[in-house]
Amino acid sequence: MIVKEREISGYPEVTGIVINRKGLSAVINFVFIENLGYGEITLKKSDCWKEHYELADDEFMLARDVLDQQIFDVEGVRVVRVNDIELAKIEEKFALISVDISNRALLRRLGLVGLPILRKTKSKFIDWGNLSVVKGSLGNLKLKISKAKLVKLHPADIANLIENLNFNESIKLVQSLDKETAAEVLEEVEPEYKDTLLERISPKELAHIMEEMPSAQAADVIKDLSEHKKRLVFRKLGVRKAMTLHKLSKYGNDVAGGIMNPEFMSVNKDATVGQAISKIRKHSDEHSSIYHVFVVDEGKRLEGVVSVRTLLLANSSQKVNEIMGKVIRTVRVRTHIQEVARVMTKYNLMSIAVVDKNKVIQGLITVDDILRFLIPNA
Amino acid sequence: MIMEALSGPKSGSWKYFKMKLWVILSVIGPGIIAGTADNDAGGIATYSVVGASFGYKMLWILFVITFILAITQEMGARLGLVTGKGLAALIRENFSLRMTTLVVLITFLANWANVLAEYAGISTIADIYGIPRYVAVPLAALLIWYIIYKGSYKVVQKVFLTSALLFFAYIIAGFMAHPDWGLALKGTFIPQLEMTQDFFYTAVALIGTTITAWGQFFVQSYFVDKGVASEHLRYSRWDVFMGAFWTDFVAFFIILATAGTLYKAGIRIEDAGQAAIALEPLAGSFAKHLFAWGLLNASLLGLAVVSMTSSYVVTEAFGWEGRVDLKKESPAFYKLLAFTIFSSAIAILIPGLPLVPILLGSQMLNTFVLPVIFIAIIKLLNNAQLMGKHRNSLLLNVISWISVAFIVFMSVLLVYMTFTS
Repeated sequence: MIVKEREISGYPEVTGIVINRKGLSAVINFVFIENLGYGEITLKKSDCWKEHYELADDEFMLARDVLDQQIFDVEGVRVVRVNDIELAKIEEKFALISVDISNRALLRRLGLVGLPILRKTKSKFIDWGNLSVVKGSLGNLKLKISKAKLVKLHPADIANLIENLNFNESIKLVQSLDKETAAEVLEEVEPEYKDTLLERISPKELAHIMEEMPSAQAADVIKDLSEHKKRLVFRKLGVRKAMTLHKLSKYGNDVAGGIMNPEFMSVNKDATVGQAISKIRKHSDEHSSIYHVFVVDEGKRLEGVVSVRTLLLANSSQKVNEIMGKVIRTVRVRTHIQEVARVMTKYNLMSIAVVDKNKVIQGLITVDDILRFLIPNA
Repeated sequence: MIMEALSGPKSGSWKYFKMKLWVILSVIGPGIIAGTADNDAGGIATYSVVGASFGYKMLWILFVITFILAITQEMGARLGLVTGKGLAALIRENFSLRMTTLVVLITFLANWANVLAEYAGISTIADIYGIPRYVAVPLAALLIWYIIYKGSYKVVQKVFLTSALLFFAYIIAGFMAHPDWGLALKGTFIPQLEMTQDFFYTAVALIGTTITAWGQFFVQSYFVDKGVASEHLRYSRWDVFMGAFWTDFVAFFIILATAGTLYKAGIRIEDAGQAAIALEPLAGSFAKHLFAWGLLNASLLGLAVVSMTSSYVVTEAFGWEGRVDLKKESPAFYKLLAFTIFSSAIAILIPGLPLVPILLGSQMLNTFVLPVIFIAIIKLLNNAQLMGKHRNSLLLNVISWISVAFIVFMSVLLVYMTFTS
């Protein structure tokens, strides 16, 4: 039986029937079928079958592609096989509405209907709406949660899912995601799993994904790579990204320099509030969150800090150095993260600037970065 | 993708070699394990009998078997790597439900009896060292259960590989028997026949113990469980070939060990335990201990592998999860494993258990199921939709069909001879 994907009320419509007789197989278009009955099918006219039939792209064969095939659950775990298929008449057409996964269906197909245990077993149906057929790597069809449903998941959940798949499946999954989602997902995957996964993604693909990642996370990824792979990835990266990452990847994972974000918002001390706000507007998509704007002098040395809230409340013609806070907490690039966390907790800071010995600002650490360090497996 | 990473260093450089070695080491394992596991308790017994009864005359058959084992195991590995599915899963998806049910049922029963034979091997060793069977058998059952239940795939594979290496004991035993190397060489490369029914029966048993239904299921499922990617087919092939070689290399030395001693002295034996005891006066007590511990090792590996095979086969056919690294998601796999390991452990301890008829029955079931699965395998290997560019070539088909015809003929002969003698 041939069905077309999603035709009647979301269920696949039966479009044809394959008949096998004496080694010859032919296809009858379903429009010629008068009725489907127990053990017999009546046709509207004779000689209506075609011996050569090409399956359309959205058509599949029930017996070959659905019956006895594997059902995976959301997490890519094999659950059961399709033991039987249920068709129903909707709007005068036949459609595949559900699959039976019960042992009862299995016994029935084995011809063991008379067994007393059969009366105790029940059919278990899965509505076709909960399943979708995805083309596997070899062009055969598999039943699995639809990709549409997958994309709606939070990156952290996709990451969990990836950890539960086998390597080949998980790499395929990462590759099927758009680069931005892939970047977010990779940030969330557990460290020990991430290493192996990264080694198996091609340098080119990895570079594309990294362009989408915040530099701090991308630097983490770089640090985890083998020397050889690292060089290959650097070659594929854009120059600016490569420079930033190279600088960041010098620091260990447990010091401020290793987790800081080199993309922070700063304005010159002579700028006005209005200029600062328009700069935030312009660059906001490059930052995941903006709590503060740093005020620097010509040499990029940190002069002060001003919160977004203060900026919003101030008069737009005021100079930022008039409203900025001058007493600011900073940490050095080599400060241990425990210490960074202590300082931030003590002074109730949402973010803290990282500076070098000349007070030149190098990057920014937010509470998110600290949390990620303290609870790495969440 | 690894291949892409490999394209970096210049081929021939030390770095390139190191990286390539790393890939190979991460891929190999299943082939060696699946091959070596064929030398289980029943295998050791057969080899001992072959050497003791016919000396070096059957070594050439072993030589032929090595090729057949390599060919059949390669077919399994290729199917597994390319499709990512076990043999039982592929049979369910591509053949009728009735056939699947029959194959699964028979394999499960035959495996169960085979596990019984592994316990019998363990009991023999227990008897030699005066340890009560009621202690040795449950201990063995618990040990194997613990390893597979608690260990990750990596750990389990390491244990199995170590066990495979321990078969080296038999090579030492072979040397200690001071065999006639000239005769051994002649026996390996020049076919010799003895026109007696006993000779034929033993020859057929020799083939039957190496090429088994469970071995075929296991090699494929174990590769799939490991998740080896199809681009590593080349390395997995070597893995399988090394496995076939190692299996029969060990078998060769077991035959030498009994041929150089028992055959020379005219001592006839019926099982591996008797062989170990009979070796003591002829080759020293160290040889006896090597033989006995070798048998224990072989029985334990066989016990683990055959039990796992049953679980793989049933879970694949029903579409349940069955991966060593996915324990929580694979309850059915472990329930079946526990059933096989513990129910047969209890059964072997029943006094007066008719072990010989059970083993003969198991052998018969194996004979029924062998042709079916090999024909299925060849059909699957010719399925272009499934195998793509890895499907069988004409040459491979000819080789496969000849090997399969040979195996089927021999196993049918075995059953026939069992019933006429």
